[in-house]
Amino acid sequence: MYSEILGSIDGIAIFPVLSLVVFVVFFSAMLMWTSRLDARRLARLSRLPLEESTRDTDS
Amino acid sequence: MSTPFLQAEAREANANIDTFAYDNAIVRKFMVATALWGIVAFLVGLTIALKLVFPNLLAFIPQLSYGRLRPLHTNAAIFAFVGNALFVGVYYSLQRLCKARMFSDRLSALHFWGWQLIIVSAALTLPFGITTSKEYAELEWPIDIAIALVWVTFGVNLIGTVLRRRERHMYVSIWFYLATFITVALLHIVNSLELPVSFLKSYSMYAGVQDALVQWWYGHNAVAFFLTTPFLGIMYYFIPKAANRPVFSYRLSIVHFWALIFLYIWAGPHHLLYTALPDWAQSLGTVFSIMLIAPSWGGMVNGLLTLRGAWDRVREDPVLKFLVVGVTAYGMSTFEGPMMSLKNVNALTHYTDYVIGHVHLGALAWNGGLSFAMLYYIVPRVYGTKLFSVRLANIHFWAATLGILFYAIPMYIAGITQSLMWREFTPDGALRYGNFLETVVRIVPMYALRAAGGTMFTAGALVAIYNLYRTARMGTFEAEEIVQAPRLRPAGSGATERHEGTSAWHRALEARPAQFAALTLVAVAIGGAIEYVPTALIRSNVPTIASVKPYTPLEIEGRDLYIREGCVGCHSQMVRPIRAETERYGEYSKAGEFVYDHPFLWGSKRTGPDLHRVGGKYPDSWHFLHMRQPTSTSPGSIMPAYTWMYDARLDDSHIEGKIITLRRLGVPYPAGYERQAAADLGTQAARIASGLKSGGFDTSADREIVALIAYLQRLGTDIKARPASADAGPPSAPLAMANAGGR
Repeated sequence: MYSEILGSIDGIAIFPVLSLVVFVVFFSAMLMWTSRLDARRLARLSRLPLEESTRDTDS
Repeated sequence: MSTPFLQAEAREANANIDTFAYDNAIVRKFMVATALWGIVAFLVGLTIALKLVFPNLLAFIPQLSYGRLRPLHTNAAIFAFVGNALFVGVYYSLQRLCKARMFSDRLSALHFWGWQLIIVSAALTLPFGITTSKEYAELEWPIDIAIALVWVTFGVNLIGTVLRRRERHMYVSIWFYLATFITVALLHIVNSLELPVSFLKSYSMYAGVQDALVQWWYGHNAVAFFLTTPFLGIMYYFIPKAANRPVFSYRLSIVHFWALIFLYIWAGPHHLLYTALPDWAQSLGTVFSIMLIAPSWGGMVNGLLTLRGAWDRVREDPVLKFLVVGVTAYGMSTFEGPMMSLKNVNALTHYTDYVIGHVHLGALAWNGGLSFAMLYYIVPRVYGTKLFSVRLANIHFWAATLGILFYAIPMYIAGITQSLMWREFTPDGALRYGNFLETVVRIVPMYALRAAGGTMFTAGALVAIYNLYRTARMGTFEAEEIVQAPRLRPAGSGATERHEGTSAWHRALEARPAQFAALTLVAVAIGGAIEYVPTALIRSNVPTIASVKPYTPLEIEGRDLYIREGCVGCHSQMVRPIRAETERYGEYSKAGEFVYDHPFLWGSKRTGPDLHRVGGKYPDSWHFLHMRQPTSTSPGSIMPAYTWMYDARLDDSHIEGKIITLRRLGVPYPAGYERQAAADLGTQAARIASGLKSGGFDTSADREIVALIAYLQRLGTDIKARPASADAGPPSAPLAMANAGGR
């Protein structure tokens, strides 16, 4: 089916290669970035749902 | 957590305290809608489940026939029940995570009432057969436009709130909410491109293979970005809240987010394995589906491990019970999904009830479980009281959990049983169950068990609503929850940030939700583009088979009746290149046979047999008898009768417009043919009717049934007129499944 339908499109072979490259680059970059995040900051961020604004008891 | 940074931050903050109110009224509105539409969705589902056991149930009302109610059920479950529930989660948690009221009360109201109006309009159109037939996108074009407008209203309100937040960092839940808004908007608009014929009728811009690819790119990612990402946001907020401890790993949640939104969008073609879709696209769908296990399970593990040290509380707290069962079911579904996208497994499970079991595990346990957990969490809090009865909540929990098991397990058994029967050969090489009905009759008891499971789940939901109602009655509703929070300081001035020097660009990104949303769009657009562009490049005439011709006017009308009655819900039109299928149905389907199909009608479920090669298989009289009383030709059939099509006069008033519209979409009707169409329609109808009359069947040419028979008799016949060529084997060519991938 590949050759039957898509063979006529110029440069079609680049698509699978492009997919792989995009994928590998994206994940390498993301994993490098997340591994370098500051642990203390992450600990603070993870507590955000638990540190909500205080109720205004006066009103 | 009393670190020096936090103390410093607190000192800085004291000077600028804002007092404001959370809008709980909008949360309550969405909660009421969730409960109400949930029950509607469950009851419609139960009705159609019972119809498969008792085909004559309510059979005298066309509007309540199986084919028309099925899309009503799926739309009600997805967009009415789960949709309203996700808005409950977003409106409740977003305000608290942003420490800000919703951006605009007016937009909130517009969003709420607009969404309910869309649901009502779905309920008023689908039973009347007003449908595009594309799964989970059945609503016609005026409603599609309304959906786009209301969705943008939601998006403006969401982003506006994020922009006005009093907490610099956007917690990971908000990322999931932003990705939901962006991607659903993109999916909805691309998949809904259609050309109107009249106020409530349109044809898809795409045809055949392209339409199928776009539809399942949409269908798969609607599951991803409507049923999954918002609920992951909800999971990341409500599990820490309910367990009163932070998420297990925030780092993992970041990886989870980016990996999930990037990978999900590529996996759509796994809905089209073994179809006429290009092989490279099928393989791409499979590979990315398998990779999806990693982020999905990362998310599940992150959710469940958040409960470390708090598992004892799961025994007592109904909120945690529903969250745990929900997240576990998410893990099961997201393992099952990739497995089903392996071609050999897919060949077994596709078109069967296995898929129905799979989706209900996700919908009832994951979406349903998290939705009810949210309701049990929020209602007592906004009413300033405790849950009316923990015992009733436990009864609900067990009814729901057992109901899901009684639903899913019979469906798994039914799916595998039927599929194995479909492909079983005798030693002589003939199909052991050559009559499709033999495989249906075998699984009807499973359909009955499924209905019992659905009843248990619905009964549990009713108990929950009673419990929540009594809870509300016990307390006082706090529509405006007055709170205080420090104002947001200009970026870069905080003590905390000065101490955490790394990754400034990342913080900058988080501080700007618009840019963050744009990056999200890029992430999802990459997969979408790589999947879509090559197929879009195929000019519709490239794979054309010379003998494939456009439909006649009468066949167009018949096809529209096929769409109106929702036949596609039970009958596929896609013979896969598998020996068991070519043996049963005839030659496998070719991409070139669908180039004039606006929309495609490949279907996704075979409650009845495939119809792509049904044309010419039986005489007109067989269809005439079968449609009026299916059991007369097929004893034991569970197909409903379509008696109204014998009385109703065919409405062909739009045939001219239909021809013009289809020509605009690329179907090669000659110029001016629209003026001749009505006459051609009459001639063909008269020919079919006179044939029926001569066989002793009482009908007239202007009845709907005649048009439907014309369409059914045309199906899959064009290719038979084609001269023999290399890729068209004889109808019974035993193509080995292993070879199918290498064509």
